[in-house]
Amino acid sequence: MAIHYLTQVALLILAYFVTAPGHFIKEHFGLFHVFGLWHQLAPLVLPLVLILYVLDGWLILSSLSTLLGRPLKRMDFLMYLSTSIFYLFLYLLSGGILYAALSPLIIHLRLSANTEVPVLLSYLLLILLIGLTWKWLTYLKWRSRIIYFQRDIGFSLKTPMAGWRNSLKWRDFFAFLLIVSGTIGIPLFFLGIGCYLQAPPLLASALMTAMLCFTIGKFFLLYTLWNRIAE
Amino acid sequence: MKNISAAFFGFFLALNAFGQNPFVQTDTPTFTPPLSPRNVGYQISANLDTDSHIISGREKIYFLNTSHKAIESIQIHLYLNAFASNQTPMESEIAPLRKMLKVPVNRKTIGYCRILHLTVNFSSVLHTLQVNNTVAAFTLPYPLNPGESTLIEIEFETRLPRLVIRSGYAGSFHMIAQWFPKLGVLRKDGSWDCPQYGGNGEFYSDFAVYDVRFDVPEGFNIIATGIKQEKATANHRNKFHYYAEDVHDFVAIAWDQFKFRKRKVGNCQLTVAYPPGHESVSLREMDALEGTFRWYNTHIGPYPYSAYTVIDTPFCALPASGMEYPMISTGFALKLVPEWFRLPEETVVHEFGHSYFQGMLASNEFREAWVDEGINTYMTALIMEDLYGKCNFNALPRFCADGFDRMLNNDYTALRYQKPDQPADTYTNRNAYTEASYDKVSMLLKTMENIIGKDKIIEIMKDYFNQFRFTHPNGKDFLRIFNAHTDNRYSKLMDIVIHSNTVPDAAILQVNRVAIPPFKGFVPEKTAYMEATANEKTVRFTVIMGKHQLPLPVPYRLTFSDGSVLNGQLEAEESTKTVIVNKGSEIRLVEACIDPKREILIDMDRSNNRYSKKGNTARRMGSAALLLIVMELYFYVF
Repeated sequence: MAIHYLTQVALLILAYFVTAPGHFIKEHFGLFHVFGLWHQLAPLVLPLVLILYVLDGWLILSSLSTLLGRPLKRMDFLMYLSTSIFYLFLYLLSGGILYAALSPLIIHLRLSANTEVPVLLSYLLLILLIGLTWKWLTYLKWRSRIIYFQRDIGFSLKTPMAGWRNSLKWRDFFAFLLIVSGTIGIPLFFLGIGCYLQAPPLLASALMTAMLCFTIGKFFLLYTLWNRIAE
Repeated sequence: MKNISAAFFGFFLALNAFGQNPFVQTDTPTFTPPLSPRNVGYQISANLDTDSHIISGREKIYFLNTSHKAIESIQIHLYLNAFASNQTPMESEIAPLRKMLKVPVNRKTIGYCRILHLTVNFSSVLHTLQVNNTVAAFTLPYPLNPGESTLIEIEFETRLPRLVIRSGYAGSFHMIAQWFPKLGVLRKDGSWDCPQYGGNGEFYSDFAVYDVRFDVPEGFNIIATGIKQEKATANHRNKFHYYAEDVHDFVAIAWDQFKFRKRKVGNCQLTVAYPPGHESVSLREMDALEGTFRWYNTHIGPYPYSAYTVIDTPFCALPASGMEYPMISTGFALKLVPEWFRLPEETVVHEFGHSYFQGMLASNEFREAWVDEGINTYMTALIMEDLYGKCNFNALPRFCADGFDRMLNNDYTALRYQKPDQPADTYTNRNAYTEASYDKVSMLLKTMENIIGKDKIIEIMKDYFNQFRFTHPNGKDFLRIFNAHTDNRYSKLMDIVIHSNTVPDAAILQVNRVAIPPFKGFVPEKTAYMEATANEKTVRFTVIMGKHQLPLPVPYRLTFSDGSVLNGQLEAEESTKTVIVNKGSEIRLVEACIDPKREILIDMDRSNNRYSKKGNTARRMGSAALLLIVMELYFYVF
């Protein structure tokens, strides 16, 4: 966990220096500059996310194999990568299906509603449905990865779906949902305040806290799921 | 029948002699004497079928030849043919908008305007009619000499398109704009100014008298240009009669769900017509309308008409919003727009401003859009500041912004190859059109305001209005008045900005810091070798500033860490300047800023105006936080 946290801090410091806009900066840092930030960040996001994916994957796999009491195997990495790709495909597919299912309603409301409220509600419904579906898929993904380790089933084409059997354990899913929401929601709240106030010490501590939350949350999540599946 | 025709013909011949527009209500004229030449008049009766969205109409057009030549043909606009197919120039311009709105081109969504019968002084000339997309031309049975008038009678059918831009229907809302066959403008040399209708340019027409009768299904209300003369219901149809003098267009809106908010200011009835659910935002619009109305009447000149209506469009009809018409405009409002976000107010201020800049000062928006849009955008910002203070666009204290703050953050890359002074249909896209016609000109005028003062610029606008109201001024007229008031001091800059694709720029080009070692050497006046002590170390700051195509004095400010500030300016004729300052070695240059008070707004690239080591930390951390969030989300996705 400590290594994980330190890795994140290192990446963040790297991001801090790489995203530095230089000495020539706009006169004001207002609402409209926030949108402009994305263009500055976009070229950096992909490489940094890939670096983090590799480091994070390695650290998580190490933790899981430690829990099992065996060294890491080459197949473990293959399993991790294949589940990532398989579930990414499912995320996109489910998002597309839900959008296609709701778009007639959304278009109808856009073309006929007197106020924007029904349209916004329909988009909210879409986001909620996509969010819940994705959370469920993530839950299945982590179940599959943990089951692969716990039962030492070896890598096959069925491995990414190993967690699907006997998966309707609502208590587990809600525990998962609670931990994920807390892990993301609490740091986001602090980061939001930090960004709004633009006070560097506050923002820095919010960033450190956020990363701590992410690290603890992730490992707590894995630990909880490991124990629940083992029962 | 022949006798009746002969009588009508005699009537029109008699009119020729007096030059009187026959559609002026002789018993209750609105303006005596007339405000405009009134060389055109329209009498229209129209029937709207709200199911098929078809308007069947008949119109009589009075037309007086005010040119110096006899004319043999007449050109008219058939605007809505712009929506007749997916191959028109308009369609290629609005294709992204159509895609976003998810309105495909099909038999239910197209629009058109076609002429079924056409006579000139009771002789059919339909066989001479030639239609080219949105412009039609026909030959007169005989040449019309200068000073002679004629009567054109047209039976037409207009189908409103599904609303994508400006005109059309959305649900039961019908925005009936640019809907009837309308004359082009006859130039003094006898040629016609009747360009194709596209996505950028909007209006250019003669001032006319409109006497229009509308017939709509029962339950539907009509709001239109002019003053309502009569409303009657018969055979499950509502009949409306509107009459307007000295306006250059006639627009109507038919809907069955309007609610009204009215306020009388002086002799003018101000109205906001809004959809159910927009109660609170319509009150904001009414306050903005009243404030703007009073401002223009006080500072520029009287608004002569006795009514003005803001149509707050329902959500489904948003593509009709933010448009100006004589005595009517469409606002941009959403039910959930928060109080601090003043886009609804700004839209009302801007569109009402068009009553003056284009409504009464009827410049050619096809050829020189900047003359009304650029000036009016500047006036909008000026009035918004007077009405709502500094944070007039975004009133959230942390994100306080006015209209110019928003404009300064736009992307102005199109200005490298587009200029304000070019026809509206030659811009590569909508963004280029707004950057050049709206933003660049309004930034120029704001810069001028910061130099010559607000009172002076209002005086210029007032003079421009008084000299040219109810005529067709052009860009040269405005520049002539501006340069006369400012003794030609800024004519060079005005020319650069308006007639070229150059963007003036001022910049801090380079900042150097060089350590100067303590003095060691021979001093001639003392005839001795001397050495300064080690603690007398100094540094030399060299700041290089430059400006490009900006013939104005531009101030700069250097701030040092010991609190000392050095102010100066680049003179109008200077293109570069190097400032050298020696300071103690412990002193740092905290900030070097050119145009520190942000007065020269026409320097639109502000990213090179400031060198600073302050204020970067929060920005970097904000960037890092954003990155962290994106990075972290991967865990739940990959």
